[in-house]
This record gives sequence, C-alpha cells and structure tokens, in this order.
Amino acid sequence: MSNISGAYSATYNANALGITNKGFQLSYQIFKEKIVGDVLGDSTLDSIYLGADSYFDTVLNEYNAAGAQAAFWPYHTTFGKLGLIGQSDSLVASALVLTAIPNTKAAAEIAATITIPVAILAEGFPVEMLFSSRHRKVPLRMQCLPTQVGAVTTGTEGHFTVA
Amino acid sequence: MIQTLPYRCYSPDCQTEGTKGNGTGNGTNIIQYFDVNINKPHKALPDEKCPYCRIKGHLTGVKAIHMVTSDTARQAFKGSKMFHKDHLDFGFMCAESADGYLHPKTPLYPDSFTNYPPAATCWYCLTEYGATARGNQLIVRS
Repeated sequence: MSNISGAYSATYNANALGITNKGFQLSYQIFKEKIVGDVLGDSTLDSIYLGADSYFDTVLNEYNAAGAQAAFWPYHTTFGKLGLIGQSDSLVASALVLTAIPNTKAAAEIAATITIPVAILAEGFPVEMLFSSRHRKVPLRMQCLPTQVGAVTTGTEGHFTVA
Repeated sequence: MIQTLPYRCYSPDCQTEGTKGNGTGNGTNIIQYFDVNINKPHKALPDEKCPYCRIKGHLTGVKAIHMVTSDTARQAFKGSKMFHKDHLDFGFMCAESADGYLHPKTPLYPDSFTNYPPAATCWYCLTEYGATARGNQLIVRS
C-alpha cells in the first residue's frame, strides 16, 4: 500500500503563513457545457470542456504570522479598511507556495512543492475569527487565478504548478 | 559571511492606501536585495534606506523561497538532490539552498520551494535561472 502523507509549510507573498490546523485542502470544479438532444431526452450526449476553478482551503493557527494578514485582508494593508474599489484581483493576488516538510513521504512525491502564482481570498468565503480567550484561528479559502506557466500558448494557462 | 538576502519595506509610506498593485510606486510588494553579514542580526536593516520611500528601519526580511528543478534538465546544482523516489529527482537551483537545507539556522534555509520563477525570492536561484539585476531588484522572466 502506498500512502502519502506529510505536512506542508506555506508562504504567501514570500511571508510565512505559520502552522495550519489541518493543512491545505485542494478542491476544484470542472466546467462543461452539456450537449443534449431530443433523441435521448435529458441524457448527456457529449460535453464541451470549459475550464475549471481551483481553491485551497486552510485554517491558519497563527493569526499574526507574517503573511497572514495579506491573505485574510488582501485589499488594504490596514485591517478593516476596504481598499481601492474596482481593482482587479489579479493585481492584488500574490503567490502562495506550499512545501512539504523534509523527509516526509510527501516530500518524496511529485507534489512536494505546490506553487499557486496568483492566489487570493475567494469571493464570499466567510472568514470568521474568534476574539476571545480561546485560540484565534483564521479559516481561509484561497482561489487560484490562472496564469501562463509555460510558453504563451493556449492550453498552458494554469492554476498551480507542482514539482 | 556576506549573503544577498530578500527584503520588503513595511514603512508607512510604502503601506499607503491604494498603492498595492496599481503601479503608483510603492515598494511594499517589491522584493529588494541587500548584502548582509549573516553573522550579525539580520531581521531588519535599520541603516538601509528603502529606495522607494527613502525611510530607514522598515526593511524586513522575507522567507527564502528557492527554486527546484528537475534533474533531467541537468540544471540542478551538482550533487545536491532534494528528493529521491524512483524516477523523480529534483535538485536545488543554487548552492546556497543546498547548503541551507542542511543548516536550518542560516537565513537562506529554504522555507519553501517553487518551480515557478516569479514566486521565488532567492537571489542566487534567480540569478542562476537567468534573472537580471537592476539595482536592488531582480527582473525575472516567467
């Protein structure tokens, strides 16, 4: 049995995100246009691939890690200020880099390092922080925006790279 | 020992409203490189001025993100394989990260690795990759 495991450290905009509660969860959705025809009713005859959206979910255990605030409040450097309305996410987003802890099985696997070059807090994600005597954790859902990760050719746009 | 380390400026001027990402000249999101004696405390550079805001004392070190490269391309730093598994061999791009990997106390100890050059912060990796220096910055082709 080949089971892969191993914690990852992370930086956002080259600043450490500290330790996380349960690591990073990749999730993605594929978009397709269904082709249906009267001959088979609502059955899917074929589909046309229309790209994907990818996200990395995590819970930061270190509220004050160097890279945390830029991740959970990306549009202004002062927590609470709204920032410039109307700016593009791709101009505000930063690179999220995940690296497997050395000597783990994950570090020997093909996804030992995962780079999301254009990552930003996902729209509508409810970031909830508890201001109390308890541990202050920060849940995050980072959306991966596409970037061209190879030659400028259709099909090379990517959400993340692994190495 | 002198090493070139990555820094960002967190002065009030470099953190002013609306400057991030829209090209109005702040240094916040731009990594700058300084030659630092790593035998002395290097968390901040109190005597160095930020080239953008000209204010001293707000340059703060950022994590060393090194480049890894597949050894099949024969680009990896010689004799320094990072990962070994069957056909997968990744190597360090620069000698400093290979050395740092064995010495966690050094400032260039690899906090993260990437194979996407614009996400890397290590001067030595990026120079090896072919980035060109312009003052305290490196211009990286993606």
